[in-house]
Amino acid sequence: MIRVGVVGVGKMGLLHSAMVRRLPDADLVGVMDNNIGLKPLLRSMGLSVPFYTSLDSLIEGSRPDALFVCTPHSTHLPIARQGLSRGMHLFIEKPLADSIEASRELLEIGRSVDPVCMVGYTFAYLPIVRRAKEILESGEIGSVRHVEASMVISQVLSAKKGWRYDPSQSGGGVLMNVASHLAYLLYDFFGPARSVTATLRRIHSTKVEDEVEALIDFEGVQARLNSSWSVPGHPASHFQVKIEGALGSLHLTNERVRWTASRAGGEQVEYAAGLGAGVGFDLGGDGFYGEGYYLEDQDFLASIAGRRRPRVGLEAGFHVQEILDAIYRSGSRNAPVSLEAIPS
Amino acid sequence: MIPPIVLGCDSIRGVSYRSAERAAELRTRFERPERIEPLLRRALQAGITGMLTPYHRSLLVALDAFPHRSWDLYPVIPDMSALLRDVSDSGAIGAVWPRIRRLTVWQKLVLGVRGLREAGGLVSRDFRSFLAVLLDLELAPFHRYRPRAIFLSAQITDLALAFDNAPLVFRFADLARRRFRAEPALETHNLGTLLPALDRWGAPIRIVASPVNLYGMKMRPTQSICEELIRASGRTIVATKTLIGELIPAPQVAEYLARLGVGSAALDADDPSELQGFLDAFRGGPASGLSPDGSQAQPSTV
Repeated sequence: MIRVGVVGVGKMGLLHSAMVRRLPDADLVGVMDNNIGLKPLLRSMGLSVPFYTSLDSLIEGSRPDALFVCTPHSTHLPIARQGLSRGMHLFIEKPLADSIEASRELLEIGRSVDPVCMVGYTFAYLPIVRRAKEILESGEIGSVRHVEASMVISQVLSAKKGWRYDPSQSGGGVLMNVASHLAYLLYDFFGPARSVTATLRRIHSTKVEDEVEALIDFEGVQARLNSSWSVPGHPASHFQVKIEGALGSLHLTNERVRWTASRAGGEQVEYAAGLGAGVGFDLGGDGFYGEGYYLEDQDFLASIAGRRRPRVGLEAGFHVQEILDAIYRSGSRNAPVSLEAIPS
Repeated sequence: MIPPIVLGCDSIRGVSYRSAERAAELRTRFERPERIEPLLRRALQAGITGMLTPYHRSLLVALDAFPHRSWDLYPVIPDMSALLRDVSDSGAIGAVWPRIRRLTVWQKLVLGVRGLREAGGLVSRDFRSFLAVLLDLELAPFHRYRPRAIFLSAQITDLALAFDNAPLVFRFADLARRRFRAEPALETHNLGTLLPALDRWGAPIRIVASPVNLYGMKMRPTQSICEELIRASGRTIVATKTLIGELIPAPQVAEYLARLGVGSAALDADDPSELQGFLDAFRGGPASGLSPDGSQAQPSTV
């Protein structure tokens, strides 16, 4: 039985706490949040595990084997440093950190120690995304020439408060909080990026970007990434990826993957609604993200039990952070940025 | 208590499992009450008088066009997606304010008194008190329909289930019966885990709404476990997301639901002209209690 502690009990911390409770071979032994006011609320919600207000007290009091880190991005590094120094396995909510420097330090610490480290890019586990990757890898649409990826949500339709909108805690706006999922997906499909040209725009926010547009070169594959959290009409986040290949094309969205391949002849469609087998518990709403949360937590715990690497390790998290960082650099300089130029 | 066929609200709320374009089209179309009204009228003509729905302003405005007591509404509350969005936009107090504005003066007075009763719980941050106040606020727009059953939304049910929080379910059941004089019912996306838990808890819940469809979508932990439990359950199972936005042909759906013996099926139609086709297919299945003219001859009740 793996003893699990959850650090930060906001929306994501609560979700992971619930998932851990439903996964076999895991025992939620304590939660930590610096907001003591959450304690009675969580208890009355049924979360009857010890509540701590410091990481030290969680580690000393409940002796977890693994931590879910669900706090503001700027705290990921210090928490990870502390957890790893005590030999704990870490699940770090995306993105890996608030900056490339913090991510690099985290990667280096992670490489030097034994425990399993994973970054919570849920898209890696969405069945519809896995299916799209299978189709790409099968070569059905041939070598990829051009990609367009977008992700939108109606989240910031006026100036908002909170740590997500404070770059000193989040590291950025829509790119860090929303489009990082899309950056992961592109990295997962096409590998590390080589160069980036980007534009960032503020619409309602005063300190972070509300929209991002980037042209990313993935070693010969040109991908255009667009994202906004200030588009009306999208109560839930929606993504789409259009891929043009030498032999056909593929269109991936939350709901389906549709592809045409000259060999297969004609268009084929598979719906996310038919691809959720193996998901034991679902805390999502009407959409399919709930499936991803279950599967990623399951992979983290199975990786610990089997002493193997999870699907999204620190290296993947770092490569995505390189893309995010390059987009911010390019946006601020108004010029292309080569990723090789980032000191390593 | 729940008719064999009720109208679902996914289409009206703009939920689509086919494409974002279709979701956007549905949202735009059903923003206007006058576009919802023909669908409701056609459903009534076909003998459907019940509807499973969260709060939806345009829908409630559209229902004003119908004679009193034409429709039996089964509210699914609280609408957690809308609540979380409002909390994120405006903070906790800002999120409550638009819900208070929906109330009549009398409702504000009554709810104010009830709120005082929950004051201790609210101050001590007891989620059960928050839930009681939230239920009051979200149910207020449904009062004139005197709901006979109230469904606790899946996001709350499933969180309670994850934490094995039987007291929350008992508190909800008590509130539904005592305060709202309605049958407490639960919505879930984890039917295969919930049904055994309700038995274990001895929970006074006789109606459960859950996705039941040929794809096994949101039938957790597995489709076959859910099917087995539905067949064996003494509770009324209201099958939702049956057509998954018309991804599955209605005749196949009807046959599947009949084979499982669900108590009721929610139909998410968006086109009045298609409604009759769905109903014809369903009549051989769970709607066999409907007479040929569409009137409910022998409604199966809980």
